[in-house]
Amino acid sequence: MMAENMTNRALFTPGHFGCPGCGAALAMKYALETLGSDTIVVMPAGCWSTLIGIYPYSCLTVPVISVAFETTAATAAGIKAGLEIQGNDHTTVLAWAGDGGTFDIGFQALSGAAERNDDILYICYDNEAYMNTGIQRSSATPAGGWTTTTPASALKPQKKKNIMNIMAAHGVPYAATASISDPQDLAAKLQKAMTIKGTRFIHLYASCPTGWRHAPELSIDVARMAVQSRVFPLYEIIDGETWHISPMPEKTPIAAYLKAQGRFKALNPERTAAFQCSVDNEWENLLKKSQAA
Amino acid sequence: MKKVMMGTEAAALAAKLARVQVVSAYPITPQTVIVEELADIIGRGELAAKYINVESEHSAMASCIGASASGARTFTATSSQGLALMHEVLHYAANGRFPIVMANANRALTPPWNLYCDHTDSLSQRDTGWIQYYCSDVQDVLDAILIAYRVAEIVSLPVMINLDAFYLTHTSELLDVPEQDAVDRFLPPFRPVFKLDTDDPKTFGNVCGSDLYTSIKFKHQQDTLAATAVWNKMADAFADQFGRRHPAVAPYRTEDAELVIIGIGTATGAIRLAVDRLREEGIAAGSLGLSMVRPFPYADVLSALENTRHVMVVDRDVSFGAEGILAQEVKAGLFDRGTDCRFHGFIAGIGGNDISSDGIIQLARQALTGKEETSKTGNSFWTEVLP
Amino acid sequence: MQSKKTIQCLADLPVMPTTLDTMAWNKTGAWRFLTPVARNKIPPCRQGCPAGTPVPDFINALKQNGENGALEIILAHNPLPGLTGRLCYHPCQTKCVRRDLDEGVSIQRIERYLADCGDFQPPAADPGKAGCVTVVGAGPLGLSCAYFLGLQGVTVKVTDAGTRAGGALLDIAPEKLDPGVLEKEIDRLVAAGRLELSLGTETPAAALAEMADQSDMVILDPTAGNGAVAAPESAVSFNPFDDEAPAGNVVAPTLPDNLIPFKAPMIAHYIGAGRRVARLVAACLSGESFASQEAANSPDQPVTAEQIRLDRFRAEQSAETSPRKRQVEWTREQVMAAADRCLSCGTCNLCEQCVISCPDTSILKNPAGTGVCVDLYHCKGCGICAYECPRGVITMEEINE
Repeated sequence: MMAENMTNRALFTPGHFGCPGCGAALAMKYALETLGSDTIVVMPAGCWSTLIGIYPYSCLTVPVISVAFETTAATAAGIKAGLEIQGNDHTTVLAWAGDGGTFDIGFQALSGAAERNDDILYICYDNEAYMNTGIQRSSATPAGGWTTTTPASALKPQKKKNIMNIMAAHGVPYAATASISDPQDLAAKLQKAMTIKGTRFIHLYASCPTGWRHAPELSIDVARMAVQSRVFPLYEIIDGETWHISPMPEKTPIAAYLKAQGRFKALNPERTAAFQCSVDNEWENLLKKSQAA
Repeated sequence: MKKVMMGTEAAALAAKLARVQVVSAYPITPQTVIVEELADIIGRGELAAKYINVESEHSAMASCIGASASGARTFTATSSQGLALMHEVLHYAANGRFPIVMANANRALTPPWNLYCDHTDSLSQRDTGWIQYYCSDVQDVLDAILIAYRVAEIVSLPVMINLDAFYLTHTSELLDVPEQDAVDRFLPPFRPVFKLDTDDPKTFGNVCGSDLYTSIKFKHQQDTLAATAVWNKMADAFADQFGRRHPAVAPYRTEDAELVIIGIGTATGAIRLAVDRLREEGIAAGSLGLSMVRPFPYADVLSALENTRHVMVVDRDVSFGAEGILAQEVKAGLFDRGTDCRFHGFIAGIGGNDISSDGIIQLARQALTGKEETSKTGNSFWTEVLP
Repeated sequence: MQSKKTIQCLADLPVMPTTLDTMAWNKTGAWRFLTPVARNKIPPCRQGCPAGTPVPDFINALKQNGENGALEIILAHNPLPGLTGRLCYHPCQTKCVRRDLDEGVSIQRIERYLADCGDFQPPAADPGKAGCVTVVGAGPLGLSCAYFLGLQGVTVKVTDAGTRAGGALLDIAPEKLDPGVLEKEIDRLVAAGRLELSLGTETPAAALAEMADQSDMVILDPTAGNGAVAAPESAVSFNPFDDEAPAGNVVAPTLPDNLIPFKAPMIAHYIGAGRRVARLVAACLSGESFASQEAANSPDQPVTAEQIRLDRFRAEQSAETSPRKRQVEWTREQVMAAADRCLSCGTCNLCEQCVISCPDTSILKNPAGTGVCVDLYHCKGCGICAYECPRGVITMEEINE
């Protein structure tokens, strides 16, 4: 239908339960466009395991297994081992988990798989909270971000966990950030990932109008603003050592990004300044690492 | 071929003979030898399999599920805390109808820490839907794993082969080891009912409404209940080929018994010795080794207890707030039939305490005379309790 | 779309909980409050063009179908692109939205190239049955009027006292307008409009009445230059910009002050005026009201520069993006490079940003490949397509179905 490498059947079909404007839905659509039909998806509890459809129906026409919350990377490793021992080394095993299932409850399994360098492609679609269960905080929620368990009376003090640093520390062959606002960048990164064996990790920014409290038509634009203001810069890490930023963001100030989202309504000027400061510092660190090559 | 080996070595050998394709390995005493042996067997190329050094038992079972879902024959092993950690995923494996076989070394749960024989670990998982088999000796460990794969792949359910910590895991016996080609004749390659297949894409296990869920579970229960007959049938086929019997229940001198003693695991050996000695004393004793606890072999159990007046159950486990788990199960079966048996529940051998034939005899006498010589709490009499 | 495989009895249940079908049966379109409507809008360039030429349309056609398709679109609005492509003061370029990004698009150069290099096949000769009109004077307005009447099926005869057609155009210096180009343009116009051109024909005022008897209407071209015929007293002057239907059958369209005398840079205005006259006359001949005809033909809403998402386009680094203006002839390469810079304001050019950005795959290229269409059964009305369209084609509207 759209991309040249789509096979005969549409891999992502309409009628799913995603909210209007769902960033996670876009994320999967983009991923499958590049990965193609020779893909098996391992999907834990999360927005996707609900929006995919209701038994016995599913909006995806690739094989999908809906697994227990913590087990994404472990199940994926098992599938890959099973395929390989049966002589299949071409099918992509895609671990597809949200931020909760990656940063928190699924973290151990991810670390285990990464340490073993299991040959799986792990994509974390990050909407920065436990959205499926009603917008509760995860360790991926940014500091000051409203959620139901970090309400205005008790906003989250901790910064967003830096999952990319952690994956780099595991020395995985390929890790990259990507965003639903830059589908071509994501496609290129997935193409690259598909040529590499071992644990490949993509941290994919997926806006959520319902949880972030922005108008549904702004889903892509909010992600775009996140990238351009360096809240969520796009970069790659090769073998845990070489950092490469691409493309270089425009460095717009974060005000427009924050203003578009109701979840940052409670940020007073002091917190906003702290937010900008934090973004600037992280950017400097990233820049240093990319220049160290 | 005859060979001396421990229960854990036998389990590893059985996995090799079964030509498992993926092994998930996480160590826990006293199962460790199983995963160690398999690492070497696979490393040396004696078994063409993938070996995943997982980072926890929860992930061990998860990766088994993944491997099984991809169409591979899968094996893992654990014990006690590890089994408890797997609990969530045990449900998944059974609800998902994956024919995984797992060896579980029955060991006590903590705190306090205790590495020795106790059945609470696996019996407290009886509701997860796994077929559960309890080995009586090391030969049983080897043979039951082979039968287990055959059964699992027919009924599409996972099977837990339980072996007593140390009494089987670390006890050596002389075994009859079948040849690989003989095992191949008994156990054909895995032909999955369903697998994750890019040529026939389906979504597995997504959100389901209450109506269909009920029917799915009904069918699951139907299939699980039918597994006893399948086990017995495959055990018969195994016996035809190899000459050794491993039925769901092992009755011993129950036809005219007035007292039947029920137990599982290695205790069944001591119980049979006790039965013989009681018979010498003129007491019409018999025993029933429950090899299979899930599905609960109601028919086989009730037929063994048909003529008896005393049923004595030896539980090497406790369900806190109730009583011994086997006691509960047997009582439920007896109630359905209607009975005027006297029932005696004993808790013995937990935390690794020895169950000897002497001990069984004493408990039997207590049951028959009604003299309460051991500690009692709730419905059960306990042995080895401080005064 | 609505049917699905279902599970009716236990026997239908697979052993493992695996799916049977997709979710396509699920009418998520019922969730919608607003519906995306993809409708081309009039871009600023076209708003500024006195001839109303749809600029992005012909530029897109050039890129997708080549010169001939593009020329065909221009000729539907402007029969003399070789002239406007050389003489016009190009208000389109002044309004070009790209100026806010880096530099405007060289629309005139593209038009000129298409006029010079495009191949146009005139339709087979087929006498129009919508009436019969004589245009006295072969100046730009007269020719334009004749042409547009011809396109609407009117049989038109153009007469001029001069030996060459062109009227006031003949006064333009050859350095500004090559006579060969002028001839070629008029030849094409005559062929395309299926006109009968009668040159060297004097029309004294007295002959007008007879002419009027033989035709349904006689139109006196105010841009006929030396070939102009003075309007007799019986002739009715009318202002085509007042939307009045001409009364009487010898009519003399009048021009506003800023178009008198003939000014070459204003050529597009004369062409546009000629078309207005043709439309009014055709309406008169057919008995339909001009207003209802225009309503049927008129394109939609305009789109403003503010509605174009300039942030979605990349400004080009070098300021020297267009070839030097002094260069007489542009190469095809230069023209295509210029065409690439068009933002296609208000005009769908199948960039497919909407298709790409839909989380429900509910807006798609239409089967004809001419634009996009919405899957109303599934579209949830999130509005991303409208927001992401960089050229203002899609709007979210309340539609009661």
